[in-house]
Amino acid sequence: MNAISITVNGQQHSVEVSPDTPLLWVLRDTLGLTGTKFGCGQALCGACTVHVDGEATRSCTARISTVAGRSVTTIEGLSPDGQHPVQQAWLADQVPQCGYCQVGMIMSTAALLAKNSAPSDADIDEALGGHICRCGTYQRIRQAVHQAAAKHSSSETAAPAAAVTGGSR
Amino acid sequence: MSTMRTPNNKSRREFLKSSAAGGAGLLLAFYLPTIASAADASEQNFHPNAYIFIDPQGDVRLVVTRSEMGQGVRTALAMILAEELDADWSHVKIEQGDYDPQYGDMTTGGSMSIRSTWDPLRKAGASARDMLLTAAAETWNVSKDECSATGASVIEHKKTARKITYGQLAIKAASVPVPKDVPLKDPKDYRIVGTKRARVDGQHIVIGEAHYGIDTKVPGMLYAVVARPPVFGGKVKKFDAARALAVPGVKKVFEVPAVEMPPLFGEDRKPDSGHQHYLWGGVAIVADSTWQAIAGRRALTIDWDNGPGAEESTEKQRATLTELLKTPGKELKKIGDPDSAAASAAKTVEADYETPFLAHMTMEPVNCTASVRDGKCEVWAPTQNPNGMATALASVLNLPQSALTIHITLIGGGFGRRLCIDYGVEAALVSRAAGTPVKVIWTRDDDIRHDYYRPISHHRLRAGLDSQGQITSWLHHIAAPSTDSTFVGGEVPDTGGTEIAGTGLPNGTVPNYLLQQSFLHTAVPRGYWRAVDMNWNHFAVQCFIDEIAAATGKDPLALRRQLIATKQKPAGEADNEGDAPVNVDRLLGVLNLVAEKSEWGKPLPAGRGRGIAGLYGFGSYVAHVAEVTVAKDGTLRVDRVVVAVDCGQVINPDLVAAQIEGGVVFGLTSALYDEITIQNGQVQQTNFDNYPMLRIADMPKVEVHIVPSHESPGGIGEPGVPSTAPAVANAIFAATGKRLRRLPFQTQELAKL
Repeated sequence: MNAISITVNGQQHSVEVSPDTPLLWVLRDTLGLTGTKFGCGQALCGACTVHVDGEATRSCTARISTVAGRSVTTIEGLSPDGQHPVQQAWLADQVPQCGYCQVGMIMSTAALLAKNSAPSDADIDEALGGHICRCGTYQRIRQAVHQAAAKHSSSETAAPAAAVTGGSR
Repeated sequence: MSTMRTPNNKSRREFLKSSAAGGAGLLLAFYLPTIASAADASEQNFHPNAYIFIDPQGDVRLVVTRSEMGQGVRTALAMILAEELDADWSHVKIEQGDYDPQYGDMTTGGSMSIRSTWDPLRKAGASARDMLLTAAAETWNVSKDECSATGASVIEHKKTARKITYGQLAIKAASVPVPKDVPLKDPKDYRIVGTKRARVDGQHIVIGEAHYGIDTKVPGMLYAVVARPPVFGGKVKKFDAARALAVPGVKKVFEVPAVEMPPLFGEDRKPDSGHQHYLWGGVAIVADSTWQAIAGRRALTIDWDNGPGAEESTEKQRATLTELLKTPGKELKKIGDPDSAAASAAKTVEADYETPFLAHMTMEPVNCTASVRDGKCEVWAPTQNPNGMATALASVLNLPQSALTIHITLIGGGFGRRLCIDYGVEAALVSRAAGTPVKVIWTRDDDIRHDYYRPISHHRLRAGLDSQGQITSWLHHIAAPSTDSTFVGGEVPDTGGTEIAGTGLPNGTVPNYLLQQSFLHTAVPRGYWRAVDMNWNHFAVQCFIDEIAAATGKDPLALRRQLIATKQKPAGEADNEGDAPVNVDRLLGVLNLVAEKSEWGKPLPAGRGRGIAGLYGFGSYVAHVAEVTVAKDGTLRVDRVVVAVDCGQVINPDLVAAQIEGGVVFGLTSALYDEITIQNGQVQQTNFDNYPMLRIADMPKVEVHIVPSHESPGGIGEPGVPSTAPAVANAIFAATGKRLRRLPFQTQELAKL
């Protein structure tokens, strides 16, 4: 196994893995970046979505050899403070239920908005059509995408309790 | 429940040890009963299972002994506590409790979490507030009656304009005796309960810092996948590990033994019960990374002993179920003289319905991390059933409960799958054999092909009508494999047990009634799938009510109103054991509300239609109206689903709406797409391509309307699901005149030739 060089969230890493290893497992098992989720392993559900050179990419089928030398952004690197407009909109609309698919949804939405600042419903269907939310949060997702696009950040919800600790996170 | 006390020194010490804050403060242990154990809640039989801790900094901590899987239980339980405590919401913090036998039942299921904690949490909060008031009065040397809580973790003495914080009072309050029978707030004074509050864990989720079971990493941990018998009940005959071991990173390949597992919920099980609750074993591949383990499994060759299950197929099962409906089933309920009434009916309406096996397909695939070494077992489990997992681990590993540590992680979707404990036992066996901590990950294929499935079911409904079109007799014959029998054996309990929820509405509204069940033997394991049996029974009943309406020229809503009005007040039975009897006014209330909000009766263009269905279940009343468009080529689109909910006192209306929105999607996915099929004893579906889910483009507009109420809270996780499919089926009929009686809908039948 030869070392493969990749850049993740601005940091360069050299990883010694088989070249057919999907980026997903390099992120999760090798680099410990578990924000990116495993859902299907076949690019059918979108839970593993990251950005490769700014493009929304399913990391579960992207072999590490194909991303060598390219720039990968994961949820951990989407914004320095967790305050990306998409993240803010997701909170304002209280989108997540179990939350497992939402990181992928957020990454695809961020990639969409980077190219299209005012997506139509059809644009949203296209950008998020490859994603599955088993909890069924689609109505709020659509609302949050429009809200993020409008950079409308008002929230009617009260502030959450400050923290969740212990084994709960 | 006045069972409350300050904990003994040992548990207090343990709590402090586990608490990040440390230091002294007010600690109140209290008892959270479940329905099963509520009767035992007494001073003599006391097991604290949740804790409030107020530290000198003013932080209020609550140890939650339920599992968070997206329903918002951590937020809701904290809101209940903070309300009665008059705590500053921003200072309430949640800790997830590990499994501990002293907590009692920690199961998260049956839409029970709020129902089982509502009273004890309020009483705990109120008692703690009362102790703080006592401490404040003593501090100021004034009458306690002159002190009041401001709602911001502060006690004030208005006369002298003095204020003191809960943090400042915490140590003094800890020495105040726990009061008895502290009055609870009048709902009109609620500041937190009933308001929209953001989820306490939302921020972690959107930044990718929420840690699910699958994100567990412990020192020295290896990764594993398991090759499991492709046929239910099959076993490993022999295997050749050589090629798998040659894959870089693969450390060990070994057989996981087949083991018998105890019942899930501590039920009785006879030695010869014929239950099917086994881990069927397989071959584990342990590696340095998940991908290497998967690659190792691909290289492995295994010879399976498939067993008799290999003879099964969906085709044969459906034929057997059809056959079973031809002869009378076991009588579960009988009112009046249904045979005579049916024989003398002026008109008979009859219809058969069917629903398939279904998988849970949680987005976080099944997984568990375990470390079994030196006579100890520690697991990190996304589980809804810590008690059942502990029982199984102790039994299979032959360890005492005291040797077990079960960390309950955040769960990426439960829906009942994680009430089963197979994956925890398996991970423990793999870790024990590997001699290291191991994370066992199930691929999506593993997950869908080794689930505990919502059972296949066929139904025959037959109604006798008199010359005026009034229903004089009602037969409901269910043919299905029992869910419970997977775990405890037997066929159907005399009462139908948990298998007959959703049959309830006509029962008690027609003079002659008969409920029968026939049992399908199958090796396919059955499990608890969001709203369980209410799904398939309710589908048949709610569609059939519409068929009678059509046969008698009545409006489907009008017929429902008429049926409900004849139900005796306050008699009537609950569909679920432990639920209160149906309140017909509340059921009528949600039907009327959903009719109003959906503009029931307002004409729609050709090709469009509305359908209605309503239920009482899990302590709540929920009614749906679905609006659909059917194109000439049969393409079905669900445009809008309006839902009216009366779940009693709402804790957080946003969580209620979210659960109903999600319930509608869950119900639609099952109605429109999904079917687990069996061929040669194996599940044929492998992933989301052949077991599709509703996606964003097909999401209908969902509107949720909540009835204001101060009745005891009802459940909300499940009751949004069952009415979805029948409401859509009834809407399809309204749009096309065509009845679809099989799930998932065979929409090709809607194409106009």
